Amino acid sequence: MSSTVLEVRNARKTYDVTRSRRTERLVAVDDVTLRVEAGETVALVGESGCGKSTFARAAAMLAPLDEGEVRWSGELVSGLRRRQLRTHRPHTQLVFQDPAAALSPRMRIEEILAEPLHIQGRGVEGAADLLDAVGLDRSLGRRLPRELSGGQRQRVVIARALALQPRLLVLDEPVASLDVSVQAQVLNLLSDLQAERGFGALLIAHDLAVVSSVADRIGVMYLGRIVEEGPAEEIIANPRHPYTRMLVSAVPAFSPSERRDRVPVAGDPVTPWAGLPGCTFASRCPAVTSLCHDRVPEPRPHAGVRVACHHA
Amino acid sequence: MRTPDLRFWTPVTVLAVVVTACLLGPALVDADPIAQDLGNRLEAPTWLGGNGGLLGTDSFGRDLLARTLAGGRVSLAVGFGAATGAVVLGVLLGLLAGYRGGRLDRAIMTGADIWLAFPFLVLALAAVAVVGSDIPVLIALLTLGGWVLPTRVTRTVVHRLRGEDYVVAATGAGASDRYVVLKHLLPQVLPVTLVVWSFTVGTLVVIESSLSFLGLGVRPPTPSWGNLISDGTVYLETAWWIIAWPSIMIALTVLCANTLGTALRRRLSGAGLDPEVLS
Amino acid sequence: MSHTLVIDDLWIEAGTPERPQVLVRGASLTVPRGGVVGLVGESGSGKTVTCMSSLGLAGSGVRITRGSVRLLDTELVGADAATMSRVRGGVVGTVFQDPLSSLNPLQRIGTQIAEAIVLHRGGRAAQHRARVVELLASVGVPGPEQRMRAYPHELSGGLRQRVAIAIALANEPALLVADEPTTALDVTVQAQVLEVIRAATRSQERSALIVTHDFGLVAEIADRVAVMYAGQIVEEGPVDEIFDSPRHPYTRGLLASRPTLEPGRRRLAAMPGRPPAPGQWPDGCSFAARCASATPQCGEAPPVRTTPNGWSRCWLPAGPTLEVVR
Repeated sequence: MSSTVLEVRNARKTYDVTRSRRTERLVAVDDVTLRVEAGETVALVGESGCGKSTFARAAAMLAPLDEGEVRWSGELVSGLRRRQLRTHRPHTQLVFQDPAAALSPRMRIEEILAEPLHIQGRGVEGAADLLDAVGLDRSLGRRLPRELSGGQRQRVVIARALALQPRLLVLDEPVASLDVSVQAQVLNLLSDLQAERGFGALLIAHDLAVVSSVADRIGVMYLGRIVEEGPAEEIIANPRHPYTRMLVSAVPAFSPSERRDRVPVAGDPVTPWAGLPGCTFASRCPAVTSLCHDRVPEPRPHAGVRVACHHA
Repeated sequence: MRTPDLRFWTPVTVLAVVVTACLLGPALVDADPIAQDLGNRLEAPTWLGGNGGLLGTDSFGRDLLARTLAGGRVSLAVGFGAATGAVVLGVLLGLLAGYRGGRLDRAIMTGADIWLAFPFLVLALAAVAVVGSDIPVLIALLTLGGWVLPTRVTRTVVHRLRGEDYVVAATGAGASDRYVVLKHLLPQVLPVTLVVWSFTVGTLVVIESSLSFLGLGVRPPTPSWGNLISDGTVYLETAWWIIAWPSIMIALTVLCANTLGTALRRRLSGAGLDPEVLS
Repeated sequence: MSHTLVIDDLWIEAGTPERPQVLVRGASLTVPRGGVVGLVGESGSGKTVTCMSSLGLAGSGVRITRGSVRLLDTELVGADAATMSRVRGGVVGTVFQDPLSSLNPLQRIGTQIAEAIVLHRGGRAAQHRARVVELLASVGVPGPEQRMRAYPHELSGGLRQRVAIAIALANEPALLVADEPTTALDVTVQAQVLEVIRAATRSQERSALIVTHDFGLVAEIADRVAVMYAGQIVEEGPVDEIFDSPRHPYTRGLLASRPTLEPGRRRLAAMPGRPPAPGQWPDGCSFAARCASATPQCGEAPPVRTTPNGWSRCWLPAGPTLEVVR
């Protein structure tokens, strides 16, 4: 069995939008290829509208792709019919951003944890152990979600995701809705669980500081394309793509002594209509040349990092 | 002790009394609603100085108390039956539309829009002329008059719930469509459809009465509130009581149905279910 | 008079008078002239309700039961509606978290800014056109003469927040109050809006009170920091001291648990437990249950320990403090 728990190739997703009586195509995910190994955390960062959430759901086969292949531990799952897919479901589980929306308000915690086991026809006795695994007291099993705090709810969401012993966890902004002091606890919990159980993790986040502390590899997305991808340490220490540099420079100071003048962040993102020529970042890039408007840059390797820029 | 919610219990109680009285009609009243007594025509009620029993008699001498209760059985049967049919049909269509989405959703919703554009009463008149007006036929016909609202409401709720993370999580664990619908969607749809049902009862009782009033619904001598009113129109000045009782019953039923619907909607919004869907 | 805003021993509660729920207990805070104060805390700390109640913007179920809020020479607690109308928008400009809901979707943004001016300076909207253009330019909106005709939904989140700031600054208020002004924005947009706020608070003698959970924002623009926990301010001081040598264990723990932007996967220094909700505050020091340095003495309400430039509410002696462990 291969150790590559997730392999997505050439993923593409577009939406048709009617704009003043003409129907145009909007590109949400554009030719994205990504791998996640067992025991590894790969983070996808980018701002709103960059397509990372769409991609994450597609990788978990919870949203459709127009083109591209999704493989879970080597098995091609993107072409499967619904019925066949169901037997593969335990492989990949999703952790959502908003713990309040992710738990059915009418079910008790123990029912919520038993639900995936029940659906897959497995025994439900292990459900209570899941609470131990995420550091929650067993007595919480009888409660309803609204009686729990945000941090406790998110632990339940994680526990539920572990119920089927997945090889891959897809986490969509798992700590963004939590209090600051609780974020660190949940991030540590995820790291510990990964070390214990060896699953691979695809983490969607917008906070570079969070990502730098938990990711092994980072992919930077802008308007549906991965513009830079490689080992986390290298990307944080040495960002090459102008957008990555912009993201890094935009992170607020850690303390007042680190206040610095920033490269002014130019403009707003363009709308990603299909068929736009050239690099999607050209309109905001400080290093733009005429080549950037003509040709879409292909990712090229630089010291272990793949960068999609004509001038990296 | 908490004060009971009168806005809920009052219409429920009144409706229960009305329904029970109509159902128990023959047990409560000696007189036969159909038996004529031509010697006793157009008599006023006893408490108005006449000779006509509790509620008076009509132009054929038939006892109006018996007729009103018997008419209630018919009108309420058609009203409640058709409302139930409409809601069942509506929930099924709404589930299909909301869950499947895409073309099926558009087809059903367009069908609903087109249906609303037609004047239902006119269609009903034409239909009755063709298929007759037996009570089961009327119930089926009026079901077609009320399916749009429950369809719309169900579709909206399902459409919203389908995207909720905990539903996605169930799918992610390998749940079948049937599981998702039964376990997560239907329990949230049913309370809302109860409200719709309540309002629909009121609407359909009025429609049935209108049809019967025009002579195209329940045919005499079988009484229905609508044709009782029709009988009494001519005698408005001389024997006003003939119209009075069925009119009061219709008004009371519809008022209770609507008040009950509003009370249920308030209770639902207290429980966090989306009341905007219903406005 | 050296302070723009003085909040003194403010107590705020919600719920019915028979069953009250205390949200804020004895909050005191000053915003000096030209100073920028960051009020930091997590959920349930009471920071937002302190700020909103002071301006009379809290909901109908929330009331101030004790204390005073002095804005320049006007007492705001118990002030009548006319005074509050004059103060809000005139002396105090407010910016909220969500620019989409704080702007009127049916009015052009230029009109909204002009109306804010008309409300306090009189005249008609058309007369203030030049000032509207000037304000939009000052918050960095490109092409202000054309943009002022736009509707809110036609603008991006960052532009909308700039418009909200322009409205807040329209009448040159002495105090700018912002509640989570950058939280709903993307990080590159946050950086842009942060610069706008910084510029707005640097020029003139304008003071600012920034309520946020984001220490990064505070590190960037605040002069002084007040930290709230469980309805109380537990530490207050100059921003350098708070970050480099925090005295209260909660401040220390909170600062230490933040992830830094540096290479290398690592565990974070997490604090155990979670902030208590209003109504579940323990007796004595509300942080004792989570505190690594707690002693039996912490069962009693701790005193305020002052330092040359600030103070903290803790039994620990205010002597040499531990550096923040990264």
